[in-house]
Amino acid sequence: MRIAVIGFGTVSKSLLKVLAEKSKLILNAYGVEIKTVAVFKRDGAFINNNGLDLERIVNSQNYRNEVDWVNSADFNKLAGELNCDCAVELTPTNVETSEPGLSHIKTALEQNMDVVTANKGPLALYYPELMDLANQVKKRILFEATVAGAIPIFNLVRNTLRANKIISVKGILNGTTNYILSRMTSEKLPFKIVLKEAQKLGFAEADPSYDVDGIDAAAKLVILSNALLKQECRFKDVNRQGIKDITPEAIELARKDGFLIKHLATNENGVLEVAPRLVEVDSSFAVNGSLNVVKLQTDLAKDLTLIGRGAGGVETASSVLNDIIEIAILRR
Amino acid sequence: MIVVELSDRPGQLARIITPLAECGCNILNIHHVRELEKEDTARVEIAFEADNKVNVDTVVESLSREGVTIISYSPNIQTFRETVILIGHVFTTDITDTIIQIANSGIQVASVDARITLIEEFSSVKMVLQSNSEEKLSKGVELLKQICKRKNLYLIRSVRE
Repeated sequence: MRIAVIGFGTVSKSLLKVLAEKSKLILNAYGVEIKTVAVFKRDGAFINNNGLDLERIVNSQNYRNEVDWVNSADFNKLAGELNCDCAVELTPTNVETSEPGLSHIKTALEQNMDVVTANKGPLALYYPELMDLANQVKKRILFEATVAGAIPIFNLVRNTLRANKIISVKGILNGTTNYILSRMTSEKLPFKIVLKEAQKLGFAEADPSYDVDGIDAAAKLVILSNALLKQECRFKDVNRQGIKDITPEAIELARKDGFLIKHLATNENGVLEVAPRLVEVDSSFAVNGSLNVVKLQTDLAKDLTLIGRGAGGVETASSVLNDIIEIAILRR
Repeated sequence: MIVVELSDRPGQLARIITPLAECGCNILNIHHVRELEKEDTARVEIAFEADNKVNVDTVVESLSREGVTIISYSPNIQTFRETVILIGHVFTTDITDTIIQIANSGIQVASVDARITLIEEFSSVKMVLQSNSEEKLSKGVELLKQICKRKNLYLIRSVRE
């Protein structure tokens, strides 16, 4: 299967590294060969019709001098000529316009490609439209990596809970806020100080609003709700409350009665909400550090809780790669 | 739950079970406690379900008529609770008024605990809301949500698992 990767950030580089390392293993295990023929950056692309040397691209010190580099190559313009089976969309999330990811996904579908993405923006804003478009052209969009990084929630439901109705979904979907609240609890420190510490350690961005205001978690909740609860909804439908106003005193009051404060994303009875909530100290949401939790309530299997890493290059690449392999197997 | 004292000889348990059954109570558990210092008496704890408080009162009355010594009873009607925390200018926005508004809606504010900081900074108040109906409790929490919105307070609710 021929793939084009769009985006060259942490997840993309991790994916390319893992692809370089594991392509033989994947071929032996599943009988599919994954050939990366294009990798698009903002200012151009590496393109090689016979397959790129991925290790070389990832380690390149001066990419513009690489033989396969094509200056200002743009996916939307070149998609028709690449002869690719699958586009892997890994550009950064934008919850206002969802671009450039939205155009990339549409172009890929229109050019007869299946799509694998880790980009939350397009699905958080246009899930119903994108799935309609994919159905029309009889292509797939797989998006395991968009929610809770390495946790295989969509695959779990799609492949192993086939006859189940998903009744509700709740989770800790953002590692940064979970890290901050965990540190505020263990160290009895105020939000601002812990945020600075998280930024120093690289757990939080310079502009932390995306995480601490619940924007990231809300985007993920929308994707979960559309995909698992079959509820047509969008980013604007989420009631959202961040964690900036949480005080060490509030955490202490909660602790006294056996509660922790966690930033939860919930869809119960069709109501989408991201807000700090009190959870019991022995609850399945009492997970510390930057871990994510997803809890499903289903009609047959009853409750299921998954805990795992919600971010990180290799962890997220794990989900992306599994989707790519699934598409390769389905296309065989 | 009702706790009675019976003399420790055959047939005594029937004296309490019959009136309970006649009042339409469903017995959940009977615990027979023999106390060493009182050789001829036994304490019996009976947990039972009654539809409402009227039934419990009837049970107590009819047991008393039977001459059974009642040590204690608690109606133990099922309660639903939710712990919430309010953060913000909780006191300058009149916490008493907040509590009264909740209480007026038929929800019991079972306990209040607070952490007071400097007046210009945010304080925190924890409340346990209680009701005998889940629906009423949800309505109470919903009302609190509206009050907090009006008073610009930050409300943290519990999550039910």
